[in-house]
Amino acid sequence: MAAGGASSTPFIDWSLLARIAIISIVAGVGLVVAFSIGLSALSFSRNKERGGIARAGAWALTLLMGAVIVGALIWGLVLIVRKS
Amino acid sequence: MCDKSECIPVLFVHIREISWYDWTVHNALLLLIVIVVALAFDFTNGFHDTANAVAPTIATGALKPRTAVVLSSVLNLVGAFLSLKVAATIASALVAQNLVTLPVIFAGLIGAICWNVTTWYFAIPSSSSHALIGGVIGAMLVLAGGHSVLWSGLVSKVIIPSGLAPLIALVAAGVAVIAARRLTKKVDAETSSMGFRVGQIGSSSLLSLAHGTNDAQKTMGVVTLALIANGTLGANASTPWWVVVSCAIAIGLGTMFGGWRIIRTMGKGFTTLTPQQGFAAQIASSAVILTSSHMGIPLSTTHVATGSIVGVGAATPQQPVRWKLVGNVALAWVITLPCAGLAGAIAYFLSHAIGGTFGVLVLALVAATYLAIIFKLSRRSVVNASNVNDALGESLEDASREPVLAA
Repeated sequence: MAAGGASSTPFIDWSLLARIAIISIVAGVGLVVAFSIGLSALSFSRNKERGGIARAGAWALTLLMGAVIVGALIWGLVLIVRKS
Repeated sequence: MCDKSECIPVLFVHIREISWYDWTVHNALLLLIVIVVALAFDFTNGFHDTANAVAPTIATGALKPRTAVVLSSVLNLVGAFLSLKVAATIASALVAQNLVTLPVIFAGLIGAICWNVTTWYFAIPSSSSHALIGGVIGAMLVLAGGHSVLWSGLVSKVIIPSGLAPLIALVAAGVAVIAARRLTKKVDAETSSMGFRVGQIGSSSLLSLAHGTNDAQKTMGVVTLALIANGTLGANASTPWWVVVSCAIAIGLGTMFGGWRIIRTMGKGFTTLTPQQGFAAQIASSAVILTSSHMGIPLSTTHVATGSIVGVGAATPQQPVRWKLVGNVALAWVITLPCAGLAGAIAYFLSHAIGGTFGVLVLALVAATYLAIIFKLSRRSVVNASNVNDALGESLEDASREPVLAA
């Protein structure tokens, strides 16, 4: 859909809206997935019936996912401030 | 004593001075009224939109109602200081800026406040931003006709994104909750519930900050525009510090007031939320709002938050969505722009018909009376921190009886 007359500027920037949709869905789902993996790993690491190496691995995964979540929160703050 | 030939010029100068004085006083009074009304709008924006960030947190018990609202209030206040650029989208992209006058801004704000308070009374989560845009456009249409509105900006920056935003949020939240459910299938219920509740505090805080930045900016933009229209500030002037502080305080106080009716609709009305669903909904809302805002398309926080909550409900067969209520809310979204526009148009027409600052004063009194009546009516069925998580009232149950029973 183009603007009326000779203007070549798109009236509605559908590609921008599509990018917003894709990035939002990927980021939103990605964060929830990271949190869920972290939570599962935390639960796994607390199970004393598991082997030491497996539990240590689960702890590492919990920390990694925790870092991803904290990083995402900080990035969110940066986005809020930077858009000014 | 002077003779006649000397006295007449002196008298003329004196009369001119009086008129200049009157004009200045009237304009200062008009400006003061506009600023007070703008801050009142900011306050209603705060309490109307509290639900967007805190409704899932309260509904799932992640935080106590009062704690959640106070936290959101503080973060809205902080958020208002994070960004200092004037959000003048309303002025620059939607209406012809050179035609904007103080009475137009006043009428637009009155229209927005009336619509916000009316939808609050009916517990409908509608967009405060759309109410403001509708109010200003309605007043502009009466002042200068259709050519004063930038229709392409209205369609491309408001109408199309507002239609897409809830759908994007719905998909993001729905997919997210399905993924979360599968990934945490083997996690014991207590750990899962506790973990997602803790997560909700972070996601809710981020949403509150984003809301404070976005929405307080709009009022700062409106007040700055009023100062420019009055000649107090030059064109392209930056927002004075006292405007930033007063808008931040107004939205913070409004949030603390707590729009409990709308919190109940969003937290308990659409579906019954679990901590996992609440977390997924809030993360999806944050992702959509921050992404779109970063890419220059600010969306309605209300539409996004509602879309996310409906999305997590739709993706959970055990807790069905009350679609009739969703339909009613969607209808309210559709009519927000025209209704706030009509209110803004009527407000401008009446104040213009009465004339001058007096007309504005009379209209401000009429609007205050209307708000007092709505507030009085709302006392008949009080919703507050103590009963926000109780069963819904009849009006909402009527809108959604079947799925409730099915659940």
